[in-house]
Amino acid sequence: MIGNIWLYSTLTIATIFSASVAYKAYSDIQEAKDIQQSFEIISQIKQRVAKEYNKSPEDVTRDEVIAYLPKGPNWEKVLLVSRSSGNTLINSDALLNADGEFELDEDEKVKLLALNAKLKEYGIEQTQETSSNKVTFKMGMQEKNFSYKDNVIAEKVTKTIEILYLNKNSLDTEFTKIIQNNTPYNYIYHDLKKTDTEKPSTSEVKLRKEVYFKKRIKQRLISSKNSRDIEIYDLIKDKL
Amino acid sequence: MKKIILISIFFFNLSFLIANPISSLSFEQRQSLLEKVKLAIEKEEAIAKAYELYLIKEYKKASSLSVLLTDDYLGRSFPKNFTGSDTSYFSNFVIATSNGNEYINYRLKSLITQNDTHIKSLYESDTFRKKTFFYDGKIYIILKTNLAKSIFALIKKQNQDLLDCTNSSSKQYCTKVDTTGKFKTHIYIYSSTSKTVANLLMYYLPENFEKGPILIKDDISVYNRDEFKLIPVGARLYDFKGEKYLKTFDDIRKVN
Repeated sequence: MIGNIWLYSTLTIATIFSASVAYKAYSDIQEAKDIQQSFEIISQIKQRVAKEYNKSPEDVTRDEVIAYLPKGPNWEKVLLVSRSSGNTLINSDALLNADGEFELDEDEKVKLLALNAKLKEYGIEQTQETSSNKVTFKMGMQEKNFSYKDNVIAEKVTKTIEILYLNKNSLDTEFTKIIQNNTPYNYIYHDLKKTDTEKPSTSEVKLRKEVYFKKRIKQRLISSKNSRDIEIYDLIKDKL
Repeated sequence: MKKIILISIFFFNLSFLIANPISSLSFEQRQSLLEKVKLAIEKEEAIAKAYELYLIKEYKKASSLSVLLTDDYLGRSFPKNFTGSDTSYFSNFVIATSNGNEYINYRLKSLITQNDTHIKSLYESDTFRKKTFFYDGKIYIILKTNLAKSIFALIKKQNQDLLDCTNSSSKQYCTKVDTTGKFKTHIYIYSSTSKTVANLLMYYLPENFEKGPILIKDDISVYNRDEFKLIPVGARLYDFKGEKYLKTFDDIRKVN
C-alpha cells in the first residue's frame, strides 16, 4: 500500500517535472523564434529607412523604427525581449534600446544564441559590450550597404554648401568651424594614406578627412551650373 | 460662462499633460506622437517645395506662408495651425527671414524638447528630410534646381525680388513680362537702377541660363563685373552685335 502511494507520488512528480521541463524547452524555443522574427522585421525596417534617407541601418534609432511600424498596440511586441511577459517598452523590456541597438540580458543564453545565429546568417559583423548584466550588440557596417556612405557624403556636401551660403558674410571666421562640424568623419571610408606602409595618427587622419571633404565641396561647386554656387566658390576658393 | 469653459479646458489640458509626460507615454501614444512629428516634417517639406516653385514662377521669395496658401502652391486649406492636444507639442507654421534667407520656424515645443532628447534629435535630424534641414535653431530650405538657386542669388544680391522692369520700384535686376502672353518672361540685368539701353548688361530666358544663349553687352570692359562671374561655365553668349562668346572657368572668350 505504502509502496503504491510512493510509486504514484514519484510518477506524478516525475510527470510534472518532465512537463515543466518540456514546457520550458518549448517556451525557450518559442521566445528564440520570436527574437529572430523581431530581428528580421526590425532589420527590414532599418534597411528601408536607410535606403530612403541615405543613412546606415545601424544608425536608425528605435523611434525611427516605431514611426515606420504599422499602427496598433500589438506591434510593440516586436520591440520586446519577451512577447508573453506583459511588459512594455516603458518598463524596460526593450529588445532595442533608444539608439536602435539590440540589447539582451546576459543570462538569456538561448535568446543570445538565437540572435547571434541570425546575425551570422545575415553576415553582419558586430561586437558585443556587456554592462550592468546587459549585452549590447554594436553592429558593424554591412558590406551590402556600403553605398550608403557615398550617399551620406554627397548629402553632407549639399548641406554644408547650404550652411556656407547662410554664413557667407562671416566665412573668414566661420569656415573652419563649419567644415569641422559637418565633415562626416565616420562615413569617409577612403584610404587616405600617402604610402602603403604609412600609419598616420588619429589627429592626422581627422585632418585628412577634412581635406578630402573640402575637395568634394570644391568638385561640386566647380561643376555647378547656378549663380549661387558660383558665388560661394568665389568666396571660399582660397580656403578649399 | 466663456471664461469658466476656457479655464476648464486649460486645466483639463494641464492635467492631461501632467498625467502624460513624454517619458511615460504608452507605445501607442508615442507612436502617435512620432507620426505627428513625421507629419510635421512632411508639411515643412511641402512648404519648401512650394517655396521653390513660387520662386521660379513669380521671381519672388515667399517671405510669409500666406502667399503660398493659394491653389497654385499649398492650397487654401493647408493646415498651418495645430489644434487640440497637438498645440501642447507643436508651434504653428511660420516663414520668417534671417539675413535674407527664409526659414521655417522650429516647431517642437519645450514639452518635447525638454523631456525627450530622442524625439528632439529625430526632428532635428535629416531623416524624413530632403528639401529642408535644421541649423541654428531654425529649419532652412534647400533649393534643388539651378534655376531657383540662380534667381535666389540675384534677389539676395540686390535685396529685392525681381520685379517687372517697368515697375518704378524695380532695381537693376528685373524681368520683362510680355502682357500679350506670346513671349516668355526674360530676366534683364542692368548696371544700375537706371534702366537705359546703355546700362543693359545682359538678358536671357531664365530656363536658358545654364547653357545659353545669353545676350550680353558688346563691351568687353564690363565683362569683369560680378554679374558676368555668376554665369555658369560653358554657357554660350552672344553680344548685341551677334558675336559669339563662351563663358570659361575664369574668363569670357570670343569664339572665332
